[in-house]
Amino acid sequence: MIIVKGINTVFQTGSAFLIYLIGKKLFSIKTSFILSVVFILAVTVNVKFWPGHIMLLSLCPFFIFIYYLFDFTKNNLKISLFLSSFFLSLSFLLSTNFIFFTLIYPIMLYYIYRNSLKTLYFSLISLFGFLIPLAFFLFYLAINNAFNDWYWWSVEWASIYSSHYSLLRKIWSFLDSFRIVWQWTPLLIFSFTGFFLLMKEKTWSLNKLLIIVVFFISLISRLMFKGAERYSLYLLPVFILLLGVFLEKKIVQLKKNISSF
Amino acid sequence: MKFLSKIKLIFGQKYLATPWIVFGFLFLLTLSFKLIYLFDFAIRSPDEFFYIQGAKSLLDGKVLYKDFGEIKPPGIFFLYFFFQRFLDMKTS
Repeated sequence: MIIVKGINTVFQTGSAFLIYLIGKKLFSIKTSFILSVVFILAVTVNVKFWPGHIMLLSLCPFFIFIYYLFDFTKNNLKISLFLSSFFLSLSFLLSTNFIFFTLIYPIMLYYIYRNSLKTLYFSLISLFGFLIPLAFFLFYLAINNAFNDWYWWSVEWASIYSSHYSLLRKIWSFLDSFRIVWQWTPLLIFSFTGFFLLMKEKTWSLNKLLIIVVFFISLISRLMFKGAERYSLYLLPVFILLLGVFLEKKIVQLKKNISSF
Repeated sequence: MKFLSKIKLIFGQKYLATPWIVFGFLFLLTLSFKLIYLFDFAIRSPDEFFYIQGAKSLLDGKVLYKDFGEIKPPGIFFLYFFFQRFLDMKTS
């Protein structure tokens, strides 16, 4: 049992380390280290986050996806694009709501190339990466003749199950989630301040666009679920990124104030 | 003051720029926060119970969604399956 529970510990450490690596690409080393520690604290402060459930475990491949996404924006390597979509697909196999993040690719690629053909070409590379893990799963279903069973559980029964939660109830649960995860209040305050600081900036950059897109997609994907505490973990990656923005901007401002003083 | 200078040294750029030191620190931090969870042998989450049972069924040669079913996506069962297999935890 302890070894099974150890999966959770390994994935949590992996996620925190990936935040450090992502932070190194976007922010200073100190900020990236602070972000990784904040992540560990954020997943510890509420007992409901402790078990190794889907939401916590799916964050690890999701952070790899984010890492390669920012790697692509920095180095423009096709392999980074391919790997990002590959790991997004693994996240999708762990938690279906990550499908919304595929919207990032056409937006990001069009912003970079401003050319429909190039956007389409690079989107196909990302699509190829996304389809590989899915193809393995479909192959598993095909050889075991379990496609109809999968359809019944994942489509028919899942829709019966989810129809018990109307849209209004989901919106209420979304708003209520900020109350039930009250331990995150300081993180939320700093992250939303980071978001407003980012929006206040007049210049646009690719990283700014990506953080804003991830922010809105995270909100949408959280909206799809009920009100249990663990679903708030879907918002954690973007809050961590926005905290990084806040720390960078405030530290720079603080240094300016000190030097002018 | 000595203590403060030591803290400054630990959190200095040199150590923070070394990935394996950061990884080790994060692992120890996670482990220390997870001690109660790791050594509390009861399963507190019903979901975790489903994943473990699903992985055990896969180890017994059963087919996901055919011999046992859940609305949860397949990845979580395969993840637990691979970990249990890797760690040779197959139970009779």
